[in-house]
Amino acid sequence: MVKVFIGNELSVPFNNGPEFASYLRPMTDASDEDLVVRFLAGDQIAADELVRRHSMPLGRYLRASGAGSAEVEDLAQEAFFKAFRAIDSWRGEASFRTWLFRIATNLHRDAYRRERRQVTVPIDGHDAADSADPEGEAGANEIEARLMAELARLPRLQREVFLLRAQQGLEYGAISEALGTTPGAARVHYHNAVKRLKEYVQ
Amino acid sequence: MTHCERLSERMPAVGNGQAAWSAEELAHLAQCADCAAEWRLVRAVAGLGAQPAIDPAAMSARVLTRLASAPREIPVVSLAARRRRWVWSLAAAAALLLAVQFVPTGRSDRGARPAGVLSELDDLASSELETVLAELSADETTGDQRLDDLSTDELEQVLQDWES
Repeated sequence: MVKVFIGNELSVPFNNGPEFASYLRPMTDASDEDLVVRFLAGDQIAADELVRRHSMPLGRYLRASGAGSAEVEDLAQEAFFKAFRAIDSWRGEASFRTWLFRIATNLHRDAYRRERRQVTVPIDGHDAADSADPEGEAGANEIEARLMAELARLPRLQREVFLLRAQQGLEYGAISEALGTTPGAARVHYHNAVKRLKEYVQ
Repeated sequence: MTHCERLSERMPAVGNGQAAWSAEELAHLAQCADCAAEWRLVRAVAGLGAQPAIDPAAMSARVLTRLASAPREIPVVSLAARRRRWVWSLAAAAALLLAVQFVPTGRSDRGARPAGVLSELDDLASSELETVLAELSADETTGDQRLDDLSTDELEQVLQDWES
């Protein structure tokens, strides 16, 4: 393979394969997989595009999962850092997005466990007393506040499955890869969550 | 799959703007209270947390700065991890072969898979699992089917049993 050097850093594989084809597409049209290939070749703009593409959906997912407003950005940033740092271990079996959400979910779970160890007074007696502060969210409408409160009461895995499906639009296969469960179990969790939450948006 | 189930499957995609309702689906939503309630929920959740306090450009700059001072991690699979992976593969293979032994094929002499056979595998040491595998592979006299003997449908059945 011949490599074409652009500037001091970027090294482009110059052949007729899919790797080279990925360089011919504009950054915003490139798939996540193409961007990862570019990043692996040293193209930091590709990493920048991945962050721009996924940071807001990831932030919304973390916020709805119960992360506090102040915590969301730190968790998302750490998830991207870990993902890029360990990019060599991503083999493309799951999509980059699924992989990123998996890392973020694990980071949030760890943060929640650490937080729970430090809290000595139980909050409200619920099993999923996350750091979320749904009622305090300025500008949130009544339905959203009620929904956030009810989401916080769902068992953790049920809530994560529900959000990845309803909020992020992921298929059950991708959800199972992100959360380490099976597609069948994810489907059951989703339907149980729907059954429980339906009445709060009536 | 019922009409309601089909709609339910499509709700996340429509709620996220990846698809749109057809006229027929809209008509169903207008007259089915259950689907309408689920759609209200999915739509509300799709817009939940719509404005997280994130500045993508600033975040990207911070991540790239951190990456510049932290080399990429090269995946190294430890000997212990490889051994664990090998034991699990062996356990899965042995369990699959056991399941094949009991797959229902319509013949009267073949029973259903006995309850507890899979949990018992968890208690086996790797050497014992190896023995189970060896015995199953060597046993040609019982008349039981092997994986190679199964039709596509029977293999599908085995996999479905496993899924469930």
